[in-house]
Amino acid sequence: MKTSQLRRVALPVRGMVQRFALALLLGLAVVTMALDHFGNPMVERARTRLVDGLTPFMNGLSHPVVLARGAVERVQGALLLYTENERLRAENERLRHWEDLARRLEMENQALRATANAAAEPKGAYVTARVIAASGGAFVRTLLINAGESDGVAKGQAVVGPEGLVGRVVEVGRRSARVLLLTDLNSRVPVRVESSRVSAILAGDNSDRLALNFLPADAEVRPDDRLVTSGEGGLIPPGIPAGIVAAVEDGAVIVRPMVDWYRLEYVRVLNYALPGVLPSTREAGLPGEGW
Amino acid sequence: MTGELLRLKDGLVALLPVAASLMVVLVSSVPFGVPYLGPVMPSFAVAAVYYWAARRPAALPLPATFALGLVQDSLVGSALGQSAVILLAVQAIVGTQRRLLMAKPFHVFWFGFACLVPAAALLHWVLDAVLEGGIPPVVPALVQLFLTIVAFPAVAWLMARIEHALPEPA
Repeated sequence: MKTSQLRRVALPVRGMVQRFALALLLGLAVVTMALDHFGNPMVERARTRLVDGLTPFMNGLSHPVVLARGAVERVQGALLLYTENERLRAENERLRHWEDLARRLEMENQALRATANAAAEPKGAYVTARVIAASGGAFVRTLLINAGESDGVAKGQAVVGPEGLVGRVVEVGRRSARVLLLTDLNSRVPVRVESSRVSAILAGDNSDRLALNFLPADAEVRPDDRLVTSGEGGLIPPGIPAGIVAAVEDGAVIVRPMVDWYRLEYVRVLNYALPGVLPSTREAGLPGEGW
Repeated sequence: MTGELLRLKDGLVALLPVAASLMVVLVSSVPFGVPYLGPVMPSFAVAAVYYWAARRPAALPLPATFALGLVQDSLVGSALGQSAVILLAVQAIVGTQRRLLMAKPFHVFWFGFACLVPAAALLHWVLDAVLEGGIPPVVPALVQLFLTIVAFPAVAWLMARIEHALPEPA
């Protein structure tokens, strides 16, 4: 009798508490979302702390994936050993020619710089980091990497992959950082057309392609033109390949990024502004000089 | 001593639904390296929340859902709280429709999920539109919606294994 009475009272009370909790949490979520949208530093700190806390788990979870990918690539490599060998032999020959050329040009460049008394280009350092989380949503284009403040990573630094520019660091935790990809709606990178040296801004629009904005009216851009970073703004070093012109339609230039997003496992975070101050890194990175 | 150990075991078992839901959220952010998968990765979190809200509401308390949302947002890079709003909304809607979904065959349970996901996707899309101040692309959202529905049995299978380990509800 007593328990049934208790239950009769307890059930509606529990329902009320549930509804109250739901309203409270929904309200809290909306407020956090709005604060984050307007760039509240407290919310940003909370987010970087949360990501830092999740980093070991994401490190652990992405390990088997990396191993599996490696295994698949090894099997593919073994199957295609002969053709791959032929291809590499041809490529090696071509690259040796380029190496000769690069050596000659470097010497010539040094000699000319000495004659012209030109200021030396700052030498940069970099940190290598592993990609531990890729954007799981349909709309945001960011990555998380397992290097942060303690590895010398700072906001605004350029992030490059094997083929070229990936994006830049927008949030830094102690041992993790968020990279805004070139393809994100908020990404703007000053670039130059490699052949004509014309400056423009490479802008993302959340699709796989990029747009080339603020191009001078008389500039001539053709498909297959390479775009490299111009170094304007100071944080992204000049000369990093960023994209290739895919098409020019009605004056709009459509650009294909250099990087193959899906194969991105390791990236380098470039410390350009303050060369040589990166501390040696823990498991996150393999520090080095120059790129 | 045995009593304490048993209580500890019960406590750990009770945490399994939350832990498994957290696991699927983390897994959905792992960089798999599969071409074009990233932007259309199924929303495992919505599937997990739907499962527990319909089958065992007490197993995934509201604060846990809120926390799952925050974890998802921090990994994906969306505004902190956005996924929490969506997941809490899913939990609230399922909570009101529990009678319809309880003890139904799996395909009805799945159909219920297929009806709910478009609403969740629409909410996601609208929040994105408001936060980004533009019209977000529709095609990836539709593909993601479809994949989320297709992937549901996998999540449901995992959660059902865990549900069997839980004590019968009072």
